[in-house]
Amino acid sequence: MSEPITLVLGGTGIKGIASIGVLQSLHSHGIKIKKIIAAGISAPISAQFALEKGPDTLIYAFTRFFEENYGSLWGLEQLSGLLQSPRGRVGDSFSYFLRERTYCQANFQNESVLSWQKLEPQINQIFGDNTFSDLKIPLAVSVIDLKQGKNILVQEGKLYDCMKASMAFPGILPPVSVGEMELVSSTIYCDLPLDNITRNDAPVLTVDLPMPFVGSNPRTLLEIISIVDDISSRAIKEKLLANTDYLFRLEGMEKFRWGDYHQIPNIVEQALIETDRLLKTLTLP
Amino acid sequence: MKVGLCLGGGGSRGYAHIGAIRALTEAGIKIDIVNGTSIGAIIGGMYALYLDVDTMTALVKKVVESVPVNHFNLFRHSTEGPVFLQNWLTEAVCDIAALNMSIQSHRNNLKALRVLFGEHRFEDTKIPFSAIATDINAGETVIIKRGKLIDGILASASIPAIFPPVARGKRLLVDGFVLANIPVTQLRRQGADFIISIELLESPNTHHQNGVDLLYYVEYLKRQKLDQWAIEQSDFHIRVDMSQFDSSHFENYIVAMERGYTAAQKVIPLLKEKLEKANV
Repeated sequence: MSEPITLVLGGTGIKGIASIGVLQSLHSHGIKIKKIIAAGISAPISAQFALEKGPDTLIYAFTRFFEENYGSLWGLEQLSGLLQSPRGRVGDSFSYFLRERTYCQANFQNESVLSWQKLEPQINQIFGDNTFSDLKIPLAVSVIDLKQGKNILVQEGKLYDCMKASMAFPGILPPVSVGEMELVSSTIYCDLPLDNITRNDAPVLTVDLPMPFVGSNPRTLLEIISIVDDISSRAIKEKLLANTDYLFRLEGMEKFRWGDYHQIPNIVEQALIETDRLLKTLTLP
Repeated sequence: MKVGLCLGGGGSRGYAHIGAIRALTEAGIKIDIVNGTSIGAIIGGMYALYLDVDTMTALVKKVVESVPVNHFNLFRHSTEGPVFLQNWLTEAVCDIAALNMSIQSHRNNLKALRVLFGEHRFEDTKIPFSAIATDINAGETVIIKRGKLIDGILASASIPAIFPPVARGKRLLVDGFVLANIPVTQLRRQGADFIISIELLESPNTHHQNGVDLLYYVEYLKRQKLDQWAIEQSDFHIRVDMSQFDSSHFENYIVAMERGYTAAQKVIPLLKEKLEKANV
C-alpha cells in the first residue's frame, strides 16, 4: 500500500457529505493520496481536508443551509424523497401538487429554486481568500462549463468560486461565472467525476454512493423528467467506471435521500464503517 | 455478411435520413437490416416496409400536408411572445407539469403513423427492422421487433414530458434517445456485421433563460456523450449537419432530405472502399 492513489469522490446533494467518513477512514489507514478529483459537495469537503482543517464547520454550514432553505427545497425533495414515499392519501397528493408547482415555477421564472444569497457568506467564511495553491493535497474539481459545453476540471484560482460552482446543481442554485466560464455542478451529468481521468492519475480509487432507482410508475411530468435524467446519468457512470482501478461501492447508502440533512451524522458514520470494511477486502498497490 | 443501417433520433431533422437512404440505394449499397430511434424508427420502419424511397417521400408529403404533427414545446415557447402570454403559459405549464405526465397527447402522432404504416406489423417488413425505446420502469433500452409497427414506433418516438409514455405489458416506454439515440449496439446484437450509422447534428441553445433551459442543455451534453460511444461502435458513420433545424417543425422536409442526400453522397466513395475491405 505504498503507491499513492488518486481518489475520486462525488455524490448527489447532501449524500456527498459521506466523503468526510471516507477521507477519515483512508487517513486512519495511512493511505497516501496524491490527488483528489471531486464533484458536488465532495469538493468543499476535499478542500477542507486538503487544507488540513476539520469537517465541523462544513457540517454546520450545510446543516444550516438545508434548515434555512427547507421550505424552498420542497421541489428538490420531491425529486428524491417523495418518489420513495407511499402514495395515495389525498393530503399527500395536494402537497405533492404544490411542491411540483413550486419547483416548476421557480425554474421557469428564474434560473433556479434558490439564490446564492444565503450560502455565499458561509462559503466565504470557510474558504475566504484561500486558493488551490494553499492545498496540501492537489485537488481537481469537476464542473460543467456551459460556455464550452463540456465537463472540465478546475485546479487553480480561488477556492471560494470553485466551491460555489461545484454545488451549483442546475435547477436548484444558479450557475457561477468565473472569468469567461459559466459553471454548474457536474453531478447532474454523472454523480462521479470520472470524465477527465488520465493515465497519470493511476491507480484510481473511486468511491460510489449508490442511489436507489426511483423509476416505477411515475405520475407527473417532473417525475418523468427526473427518471429520464437518472437513467442517462447511470448509463454514463457505468461506462466511465471502466476508467477506475478500484471501486468502493458503499453499501447501506441507498437509504439516505439527497436532501435529508437530518441524516448527516449517520451518512458520515455509515461511510466510515463501509470504507473501513472495503479497505480490508482490497489489496491496494 | 449483413449490412445494417442505424438511424439516429432528432425530430424533424430525421427527414434527412430519407435523403441519405436515397444516396445509398443509388450507389447500389444493399441494406440487409435496419433499426432506429424516434424519427429514425419512423424512417427505418418505412424503408424496411416499402424499400422504395419515392413511396417514402410521397407518404411523408401526405403526412405533412394532412396531419398537424408539429409539437409545440411549451417549455421552450413559454419564454417567447408578449409578457402577458408568457405569464399565462408559465402558469399553464406549471399546472400541467404538476398534474399530467405530458403536455401533449399522441392523437396526431397516431394519425400520422397510421398514414405511414396502416395496420402493418414488424413481421411484414421486407428486411428485418426494430424500433428502440426506453423502459422507464426498468431503466433500460428495449428493442421492439414484434407487433404492430405503429405501436412500437409510437413508443420509440414518445419524447418524455412532451408525449405520454406508452404502456406495453409491465413496461412503460418513452423515446429511445434516453439511452440509445443512435442504437448501434442494439443493431449489432441483432446480427448486423457492418453497421452504417447516421447522426443528425444539432446545435444546442447555449443561451439559457431559465432553469429549464439549463436542464435541457445538460441533457443534450449527456446524449452527446452516449452518442459518441455508440458511433465508435459503428463501422461507418455519416454525419448530417442539421444544426439550423428546429426539431419540432416538420414542414421543411424537402430541405432536410436534400441535406441528408448531399451528406451521404459525399462519403459514398469512402463507404464503398470500406465495404470492399470488409468483403461485403
